[in-house]
Amino acid sequence: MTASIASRLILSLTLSASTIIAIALLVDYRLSREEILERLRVDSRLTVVDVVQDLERLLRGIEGNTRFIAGILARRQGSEEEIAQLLQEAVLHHDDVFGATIALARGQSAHPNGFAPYYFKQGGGVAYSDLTEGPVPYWQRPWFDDAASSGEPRWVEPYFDAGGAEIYMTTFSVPAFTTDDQGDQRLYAIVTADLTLEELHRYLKRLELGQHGIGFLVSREGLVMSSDADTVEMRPWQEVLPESQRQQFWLDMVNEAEPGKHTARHSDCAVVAGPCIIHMTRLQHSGWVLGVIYSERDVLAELRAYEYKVIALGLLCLAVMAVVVNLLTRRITRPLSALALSADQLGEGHLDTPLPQARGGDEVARLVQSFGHMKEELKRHISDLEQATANRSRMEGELSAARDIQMAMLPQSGRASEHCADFLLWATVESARTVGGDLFTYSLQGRKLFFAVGDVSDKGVPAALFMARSLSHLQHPGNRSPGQKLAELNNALVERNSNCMFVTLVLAVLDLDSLELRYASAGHPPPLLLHEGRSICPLQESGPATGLARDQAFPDNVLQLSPGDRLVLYTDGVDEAFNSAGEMFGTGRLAAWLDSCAGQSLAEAGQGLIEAISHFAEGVAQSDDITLLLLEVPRPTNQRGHQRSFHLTPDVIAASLDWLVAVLGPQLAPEAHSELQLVLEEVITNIYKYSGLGEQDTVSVALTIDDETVRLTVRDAGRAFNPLQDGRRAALGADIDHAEIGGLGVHLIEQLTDRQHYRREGDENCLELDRSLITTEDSTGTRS
Amino acid sequence: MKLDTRLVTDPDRSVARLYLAGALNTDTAPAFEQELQQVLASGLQVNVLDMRDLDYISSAGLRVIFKAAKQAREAGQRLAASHRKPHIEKVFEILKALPDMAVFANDQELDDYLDAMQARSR
Repeated sequence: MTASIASRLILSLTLSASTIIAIALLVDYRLSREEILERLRVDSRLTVVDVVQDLERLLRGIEGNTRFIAGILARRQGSEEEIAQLLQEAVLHHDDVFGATIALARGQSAHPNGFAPYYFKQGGGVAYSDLTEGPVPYWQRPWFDDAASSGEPRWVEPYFDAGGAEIYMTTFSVPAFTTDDQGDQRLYAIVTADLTLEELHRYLKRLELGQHGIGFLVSREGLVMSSDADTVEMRPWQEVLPESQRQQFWLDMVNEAEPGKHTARHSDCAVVAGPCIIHMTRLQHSGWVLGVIYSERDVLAELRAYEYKVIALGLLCLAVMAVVVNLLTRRITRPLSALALSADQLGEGHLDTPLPQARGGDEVARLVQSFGHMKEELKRHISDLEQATANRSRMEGELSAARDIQMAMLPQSGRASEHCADFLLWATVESARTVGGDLFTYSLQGRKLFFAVGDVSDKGVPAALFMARSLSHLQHPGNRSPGQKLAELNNALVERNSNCMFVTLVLAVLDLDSLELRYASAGHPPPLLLHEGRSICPLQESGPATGLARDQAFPDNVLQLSPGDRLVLYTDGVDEAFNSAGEMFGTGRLAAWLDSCAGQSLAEAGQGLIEAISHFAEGVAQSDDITLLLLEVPRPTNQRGHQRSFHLTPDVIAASLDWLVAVLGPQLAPEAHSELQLVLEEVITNIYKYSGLGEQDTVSVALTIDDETVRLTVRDAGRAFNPLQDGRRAALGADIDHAEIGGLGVHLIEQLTDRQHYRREGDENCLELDRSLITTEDSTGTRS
Repeated sequence: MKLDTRLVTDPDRSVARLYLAGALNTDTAPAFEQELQQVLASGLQVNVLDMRDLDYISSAGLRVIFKAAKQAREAGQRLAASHRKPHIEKVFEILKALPDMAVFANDQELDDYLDAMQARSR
């Protein structure tokens, strides 16, 4: 799921709010806990103090009473009746005293078993029991013996009063001494008062201890007299605390407890679950230890419950907040989502898509307004762009048409290839832009070949227009010398040339019989000559560029050519081509190329130079138009040869047939003439339709004639295809129902020529077709 | 080189005569094909290609005639050629084109044929 603004807002707000709540709760819990525990410490101390005071008062009361009786006995030993009376009153009038006895020491009573009447509370009245009747003599019982042997008043360890009241109790025993005549003291009796453990338990229950809090009272000797149990009990504390590890802890605490000193611990006590808060002190007279144990868990239970309530409330608030944030963000983002949809539509080009309505003046509304503005601007911009594109494509169309027209002004549309018996010529123009200012032309008048190469200042459309103007003035000079012709051209171009455009050019006339080359230059680089395998750059006398000032002189230069010589005319786009390092191609590389291409055909050599320049410039845009014209004077042979390349345009068949008719002239019989045309048409038609080549590609047609044979050689760079074997070939002679339509051409080619040969040369198909010119019966045998 | 045509029809005898002048080659064949289709579509019984002024024919031209002849036969029509120049005739012969196609050297042969056809249909 992609995180929407709503979900991100909800997530971040919930996270931060819950973090804040959690921290606040934690702090609150900590502080409240400390406070509660502190309050508990104070409260428990106060409670313990209260209970201790109560207990001490109780005990002091009992002690005081008992000591008083003992004091009476010490001064005046009453009769048995008086003693019984005293005891009855003591029990009856002292609420806290359960029972009391006065046990006479041995020898003080006339009875052999001694005298020990015991009065105790029973029902609403006072009951009597004679302690002398037990199985053990009473002077051996602890309540008697302890006080008797120590001679001090004592609280006896709690015990079960078997044979007496049959309950748990503890007893305060006070010895009463008499002084004889010699001043010696003799034990007269032990006076006791009993306190039931139930009474102690009741006092302890006044400690408010909560559900898990325990109040306890432990005797000097470690008997637990009261604890959390509902009934009275009496157990050694080791029994209550079976865990030996904690026994030492308790022992230490009990030992630490001193009368009037409070011992407090906050630790694990093993009595209640979790940590405990323990408070302890020792009673003054009895030496008993009174303590309280609070369970921390119990004390904090309310706090916890409160915190849980707060957490639940916090969660509820978070949920409500999430819902509110969700509603709020959806309300805010709804227009944004609608805007995104509209923007998608806009992006797909539907510029009339309506934008969502945005009310108010908030950021979203401003965004929608901006979008609306952008949409309008985009519309306007696209409309402008469409206009500009239309203008541009119209301009490009016009320029492209202009290029076609300009190229059509040049011989063979700017890529000329001419093979005659007397000369071979190859020329090309490579414009730096769609149209350019370079030109070349040639024409044959009688035995004189006129040719020229020129370069108009500047490039592009102005240069192209001036080039057209220059070209219109360049026709064969007739009997005038090249220099005179140049002077005429110069005067013609000076007229109405306010822009001061100019043309540099070389204009030459070659006499095909004498091989004398006469040429004049108007500020143009001189021709290069390849003679006997070496390049020569002849010195030339040059006039100024044409078109600038009238009546200029252009001296003629004369150069005698020999058969096998090659002449190169070029424009400065060749030697002044620059590479990325800013170096110029230069005449040195040009001469080196000329030396190296001696064995190649003119087309190969010329194409090689164009490629060399392109390789040299390597990625740098062509800066100037390039024009190259190569002329070769062939060594004499008895062959007459013609060659021409044709672009594979729709009129290629008409153009090639026209050329064939022109080069054949009247030298063949009409029948051979017509049949050769038919053969060439079939071959060219095949290539045009099936070679896979386009209009930029050419087909080369060569015709050689000697006295016996005429040979047509056709080359194309299309896919490898041998029409003699691979071509579709209709079965001949079938009746109309079974006759095939198509596949006829190859039959005509085979029947109308005497020898057919196909080979693949490199990337080219080469088809050679020979037709014998000797019309004997034998040689025509294969032909009908 | 171009091809000029002229159509003369004789509905009474159900004859169409298409005069060809110039060259019937790759360039001119497509237009000629359309024209010949129209002539055949008019439904006349006998359709004669008069080649007295035809200087040149290539395989592309013959292909069109082939196709038309086949079509005519299926429709119960006849396609014939007349007045072929020697080199045109030679091309026909090389390709052994249309052995069963009626060919007339001159007007007399053509007229005789047409009369015979008419006599047969009566």
